Amino acid sequence: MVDLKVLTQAMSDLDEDVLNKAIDEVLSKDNNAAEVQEVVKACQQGMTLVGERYDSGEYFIGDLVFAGEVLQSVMDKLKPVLSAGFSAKGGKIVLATVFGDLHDIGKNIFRSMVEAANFEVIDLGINVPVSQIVDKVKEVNPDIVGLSGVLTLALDSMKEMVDGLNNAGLRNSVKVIIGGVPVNENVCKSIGADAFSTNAAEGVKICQRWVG
Amino acid sequence: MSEVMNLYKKRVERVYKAINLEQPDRVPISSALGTWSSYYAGYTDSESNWDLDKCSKSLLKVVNDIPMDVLHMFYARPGGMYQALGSKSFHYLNESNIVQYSDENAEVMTSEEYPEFIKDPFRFMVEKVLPRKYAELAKDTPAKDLALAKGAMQFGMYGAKKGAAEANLISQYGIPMLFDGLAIMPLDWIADFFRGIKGAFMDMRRRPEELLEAAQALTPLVIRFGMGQMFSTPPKANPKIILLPLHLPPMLKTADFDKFYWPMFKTIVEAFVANGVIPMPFYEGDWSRYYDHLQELPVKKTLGWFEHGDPKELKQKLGNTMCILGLFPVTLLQYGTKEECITKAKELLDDLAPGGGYIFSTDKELLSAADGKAENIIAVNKFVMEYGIY
Repeated sequence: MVDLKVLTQAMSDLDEDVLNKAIDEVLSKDNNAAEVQEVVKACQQGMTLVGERYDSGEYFIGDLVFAGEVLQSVMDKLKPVLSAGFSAKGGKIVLATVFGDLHDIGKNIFRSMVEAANFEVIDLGINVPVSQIVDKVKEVNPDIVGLSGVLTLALDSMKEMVDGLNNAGLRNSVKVIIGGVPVNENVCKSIGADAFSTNAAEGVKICQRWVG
Repeated sequence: MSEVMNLYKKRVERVYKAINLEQPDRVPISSALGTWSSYYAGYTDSESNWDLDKCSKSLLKVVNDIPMDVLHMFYARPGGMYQALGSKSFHYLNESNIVQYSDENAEVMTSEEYPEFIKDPFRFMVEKVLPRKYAELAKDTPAKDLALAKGAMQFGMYGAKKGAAEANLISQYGIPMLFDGLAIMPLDWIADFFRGIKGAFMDMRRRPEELLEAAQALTPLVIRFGMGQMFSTPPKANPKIILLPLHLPPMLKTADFDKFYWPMFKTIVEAFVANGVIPMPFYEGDWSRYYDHLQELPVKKTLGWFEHGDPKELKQKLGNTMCILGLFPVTLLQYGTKEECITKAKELLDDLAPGGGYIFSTDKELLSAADGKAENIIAVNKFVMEYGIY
């Protein structure tokens, strides 16, 4: 059995060598499904620590981008052996970079952190039209809709998105969180979102409060 | 001297007094109206890149309607040149949207290519990067030579349009343009144009020494390209100003900034200053961690355009080093009332104007149609012209 504490610490320290070695060790064993589950949890806990280190001013965006990549490559390796019974229980989020904007680095940071917090994320990608998000909300009935954007023009798209949910009668069944450089309290109010954040870790906490 | 030329002279004097950390007759206003101007004049960003006259017309309309002292630049991109070269770098999501960056398409160099890049960055750019970014330059001779000649011709025409637009602004409205060119810092250049931002963050962890050497190797080229632009525009009575849009620093740990960014940035700023050029870095994002660094920049020789920050702290820490611009939130011009906008402008002037060394400006360039209500922009600028009298 690999030392899960070491694994959590390695994820938190963004130490790829230690992580990869431990994961290769687990994957080399037979009947490893249960252990793989534990390893995934340990890495997710490490990711939460990464978020905390960002919050405290030790890590910055570049570290979060790297952390997201590291966790993604770990998950890609482990997924084939994860048992079918292992599913996200934190809540369901439909996530998108809104129409008119193709910046996705912030969205991807949030995705990797909120997935690590055990949410199921349906990521619709970049430049996503209102109708596509509304259709997806109808289809999967998420707890939360996360809208991301970097350009100020994204704010108009976010507003159209909230209006679109209203018109489809779906607004009251979901919480809406907006994220990205141009969002602030004023903007959040004008758009009619439930919350805003320019900090992915804080965004995750808001989502956890909503489903918790 | 005609009345218009007199206005021009006064405006230039106002700006350069502020740069010299002196107190002009009133707070100068720099307008960062970028591609927003096209929409204001009834065009789109895309239209004014294909038809440069539309950029010229938009600039004239903007200075006719909106009070200001200085305008940033001829903002259109030479669409014809990019087309002649077969560019894959710029993306319009649709005809009415603004041009955007795509991290996926920015990655045209692999991490294994660093040694070749470091050995001779210019050769690497010409032989490897350009053909990957420009489809026409990947073709065999003579097709690629023809494309290059067409591109050069388009670029020459662009320069002529740009020069004529600047001359018209001066002769008809007495409004000067602020910049004569721009330069991208080595790490930003590698991230945004060669490796992608994500790729650069990976390299910073996985091959830090190569990334550092590449940034160092690129530094003399940044200076050369910047000075090339300064030499290719007509002489001016005052030092020319070069825009330095800075990208990655707020996303870096301070230790990484110290290693991968600051030494090259400082070298480049000092080189421009030594050549009689005034650098105007755009400090995008939150730079408060780096104010102590910025105190080391040459005194009275740079303009600092800030997106974020506490105005009191900025003035106190950097007011004796550089002329300060920025901080007025574009989102307020978009969502705020006239009264809210004016209240904010007053707050900024109260903190930043005393003693001079300050130029009023928004916190970022206005780009898309909705980025600011014209009535708010006009109201704010009128207010600054009255309230900002020393």
